[in-house]
Amino acid sequence: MNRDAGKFWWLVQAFSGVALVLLLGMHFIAQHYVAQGGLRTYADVVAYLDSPWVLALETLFLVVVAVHAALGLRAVALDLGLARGQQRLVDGAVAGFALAVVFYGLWLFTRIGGG
Amino acid sequence: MSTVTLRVFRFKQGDAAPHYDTFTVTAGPRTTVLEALQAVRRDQDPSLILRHSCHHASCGTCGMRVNGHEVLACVTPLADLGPVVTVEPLQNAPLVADLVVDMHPFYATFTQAGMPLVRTSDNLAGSHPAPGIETLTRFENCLECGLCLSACPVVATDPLYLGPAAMAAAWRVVQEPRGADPAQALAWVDQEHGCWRCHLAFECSTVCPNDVQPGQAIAALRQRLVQGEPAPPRPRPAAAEPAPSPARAARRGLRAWFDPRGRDVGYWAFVLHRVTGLALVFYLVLHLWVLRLLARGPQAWDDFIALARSPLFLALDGVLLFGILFHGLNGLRVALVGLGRGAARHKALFWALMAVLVVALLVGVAALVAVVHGA
Repeated sequence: MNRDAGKFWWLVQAFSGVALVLLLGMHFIAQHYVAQGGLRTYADVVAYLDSPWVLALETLFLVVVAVHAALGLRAVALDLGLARGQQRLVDGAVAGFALAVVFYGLWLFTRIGGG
Repeated sequence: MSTVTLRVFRFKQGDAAPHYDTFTVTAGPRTTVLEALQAVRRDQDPSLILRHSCHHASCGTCGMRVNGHEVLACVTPLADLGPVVTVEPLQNAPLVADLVVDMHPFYATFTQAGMPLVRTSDNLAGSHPAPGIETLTRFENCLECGLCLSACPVVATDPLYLGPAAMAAAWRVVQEPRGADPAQALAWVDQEHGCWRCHLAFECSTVCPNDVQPGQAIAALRQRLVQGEPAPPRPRPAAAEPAPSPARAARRGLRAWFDPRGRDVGYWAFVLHRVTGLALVFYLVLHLWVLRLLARGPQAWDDFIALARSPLFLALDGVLLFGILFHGLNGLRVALVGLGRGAARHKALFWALMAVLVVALLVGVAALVAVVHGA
């Protein structure tokens, strides 16, 4: 890690957190109010994800939550005082976690969108 | 005069494990913890090891934990502490014996901070400092007592962390360089285990006996770094490497995060933020796992939704809502304060956000109750 890594990742964590507060609010509003009566059946979910705006919102939410969660796990791990080699291992593991969350979520969107 | 029982932490090099000894002392209304310990040493057990010097909160050598609070024993009245008083050494520093810890690793961080605000003028004309102490070098109000080091939850777990006192010292260099290079100080703290490792629990500021406010100083350093202060290449300081094993072994580790004694609101906000964060990551994984039912078709999903409307599930939703609200709102505070905004009023900000949490939680619970009743 270079010197700027600490600042960079802290800022990403902070701004992704602020973004999540907004996106989560929109996620709730979209799911419970925009979708009339809420997403109570499979057909409701399919219809909900049919909107490109909703899909864009949910995709953005998925990416931001994955990044924020991965950085949070990394921060907790670094708090525990890791050796330099272990730190690299944690960096790789949390990056893998974030990618897995994003790709799994996108796969679900395509499966549901495909009906 | 009253009678007080002292439970004193005991450990000597070579002991298998520490233990506590109890001593009964007589205390007047102005008797301090240090005076009581000195009386124990004088009248009951001369093997008790403690460190002190000035008796008036100037030297910072009698820092210890009393009933779980980091204090200077010389200015802590015994009468206020109850009939049984537990006295322990500072945490997160190598234990020498009984109530004495090794302060060398702590002092070393001041050197790395650039020994800010060297007050050589404090040496009286014609004085003869002891060998090895050519100048009286100290960071302004900081007593170098190490209470902040003992109280900090990050110091407890991260042996590479620079620590609150040293970063407060670095901030003083930035504020008032007096010939020093502030860019060097900024470069020194601008690292993973420097100011960016701090989680703004503010325990350091809470326990500081001289109002140095290291937590606020760390927030100010971040603000300055975010504003793009140019920094020269950082020399590789010794503190950036793993601390020697005795210092590492001396840290309390995760146990310190869950020790309720003597901790203030910022500390609990830090712990709860960590706990809710980990719980939300677990929920994220669980949520995605449940959503796989969508890929299995309408029947699987509709069956799950029927289950999700049960009272037990909705009660768990209430717990989830609390976790989301706490983590989100406290996260806003951490982001704001971490960027130097509102650091001086971080507690008021916390309680204001908790008021928002209560209102939002009540609204959310009302909505969940409505679902249970089929509204």
